[in-house]
Amino acid sequence: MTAPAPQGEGLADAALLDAYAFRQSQRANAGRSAQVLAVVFVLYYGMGLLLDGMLRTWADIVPTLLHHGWDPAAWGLSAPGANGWFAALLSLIMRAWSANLLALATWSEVPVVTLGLLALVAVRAWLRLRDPMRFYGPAMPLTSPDRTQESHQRLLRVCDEVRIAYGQPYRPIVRIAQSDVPNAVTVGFKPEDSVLVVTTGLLDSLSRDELRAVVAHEFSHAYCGDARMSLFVNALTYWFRPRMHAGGALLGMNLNWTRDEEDSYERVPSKRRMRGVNDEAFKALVRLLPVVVAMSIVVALTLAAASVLYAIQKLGGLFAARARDYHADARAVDVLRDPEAVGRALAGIVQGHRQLRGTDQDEDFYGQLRSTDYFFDPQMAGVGQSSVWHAQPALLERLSALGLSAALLYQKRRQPRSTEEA
Amino acid sequence: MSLLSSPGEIAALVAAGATGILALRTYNRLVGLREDALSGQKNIDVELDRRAKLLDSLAAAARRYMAHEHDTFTQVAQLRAEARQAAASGDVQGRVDREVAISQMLPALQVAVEAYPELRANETVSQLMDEVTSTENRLGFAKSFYNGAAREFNEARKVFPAVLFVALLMRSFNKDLPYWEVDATTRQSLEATRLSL
Repeated sequence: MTAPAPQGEGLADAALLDAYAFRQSQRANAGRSAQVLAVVFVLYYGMGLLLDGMLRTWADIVPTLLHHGWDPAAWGLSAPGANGWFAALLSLIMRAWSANLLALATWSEVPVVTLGLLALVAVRAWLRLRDPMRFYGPAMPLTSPDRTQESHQRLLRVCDEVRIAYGQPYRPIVRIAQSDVPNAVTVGFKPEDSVLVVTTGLLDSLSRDELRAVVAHEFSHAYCGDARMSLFVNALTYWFRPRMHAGGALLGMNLNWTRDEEDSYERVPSKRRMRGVNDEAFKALVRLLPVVVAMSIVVALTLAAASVLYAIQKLGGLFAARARDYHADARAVDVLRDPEAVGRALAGIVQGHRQLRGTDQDEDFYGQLRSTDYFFDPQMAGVGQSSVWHAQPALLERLSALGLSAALLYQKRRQPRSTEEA
Repeated sequence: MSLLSSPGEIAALVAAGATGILALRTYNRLVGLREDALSGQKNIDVELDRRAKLLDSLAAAARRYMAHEHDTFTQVAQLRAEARQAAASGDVQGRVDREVAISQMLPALQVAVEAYPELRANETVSQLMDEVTSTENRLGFAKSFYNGAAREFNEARKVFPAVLFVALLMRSFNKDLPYWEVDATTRQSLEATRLSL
């Protein structure tokens, strides 16, 4: 590792490596991400048109009801259909929705509501993520690399090597998290203002080329704008999730079938706060419900649509996230010409997690911030087979995508350094 | 009005427009790819320069301890001067040979440093040695990036329909970018070094 001339060996290995396979893998996974993006785009469009239709219906309901002789004072006591307003309402809903379905088929309208929602989400995301340091800061104390420490210096050198390998003018800012849990994560929209967070556990337990593989994987996320893509794909799930939960509660069902901690960019305290707000809103909705029961059909349709769309988007987003991880691995190998280093880094992280399992360190680190963006989170991703509910591919699938065998890697992986504190 | 009187004319106009847009896009893409590769080429020079300066610092720091290795440093300095001359006179192959020769001397230098305990203990020197490792890696990655960028450019200018545009309209792209490679004798000696280590 410290031999100053990996040149000769590196070149020979590079000649032997089947670079074509890794380029194929990059293309395939970029294609998968593009497919998800296309589906989400169509979804946003269709959803927007349906919401437009719904709004129109809402705007038309009251005048229509009044026109059909609806008496608000007697409302709730009179049976539906007495004055024909129920039939009128239904026909109105059908009209608005079919008009919008037609617009969806002909692409003749702009989905105003969705564009508005997306703009709202974008502003919110920008406010939260424009400064990754502030976003991560309270949850996880981060420090700048200390140039007097050898491991930090090595990390900085490795980062510059990787930047050169990618042929990029900028590299993400580097920050260190004090934790024995070996992991790394990148946040930020643009390569020049994203932040690579590396734990001290990772620095201590990985060799130079393993560390370089992790950094190359993370930089690939930064240079490809994966965070941006993930935000676009998941944008409206942030909008729809509370509505879906409200619908579930209305029907007495627990629709919380995706684990909360799987949501990227959701910090636990703020999420609790958010859910509190939504509970309040929901209670207000329940109180108001008797007044607007005539509109409950529309509400129910919204909730059903919200649930379905949420599910489609969520699964699409998770699929895209897994594709981006495979893509980043393949790209790391493409620039570093060393698939084994990526594999050994994965094995090393699993090893580190095993040693720390159940300890306070583990709880502290992941309790603060459970993000889908970690280089590898063994607990979430699992070992044998990837799950459609998880944002990371499982260990063995990731290794086999690199053409590696797990058994061989564990054999080859050296023991953690003896200088490490027990 | 009279221009677009028949469907045939409209079709011809649309086809011409599409071809024009395609040609423009091809041109812009090729310009971008070529600049990527050329900047990659210059970045190799940047890394070579960096290595040269680093070796100077290392020589200065280690001179006190390594009187015996004085020859090595002199040799490196001489190769550097030759490489600089070759670069100035445009002798690409000569320059590549010199730089490769420097690369080949570095393992010997590493071994030499390992042989002097007091030198290994010197913080400046050990840091510089890690810096040498890093610089060799940077150089390798810079070359590798350049080769990748050159491959992309060479591929893009030879695929259809770019090859037509290049042949008819964009003569300036009618030349492959050379890959960074070592000649047969250098490769042989590299292999020998590798096996002897």
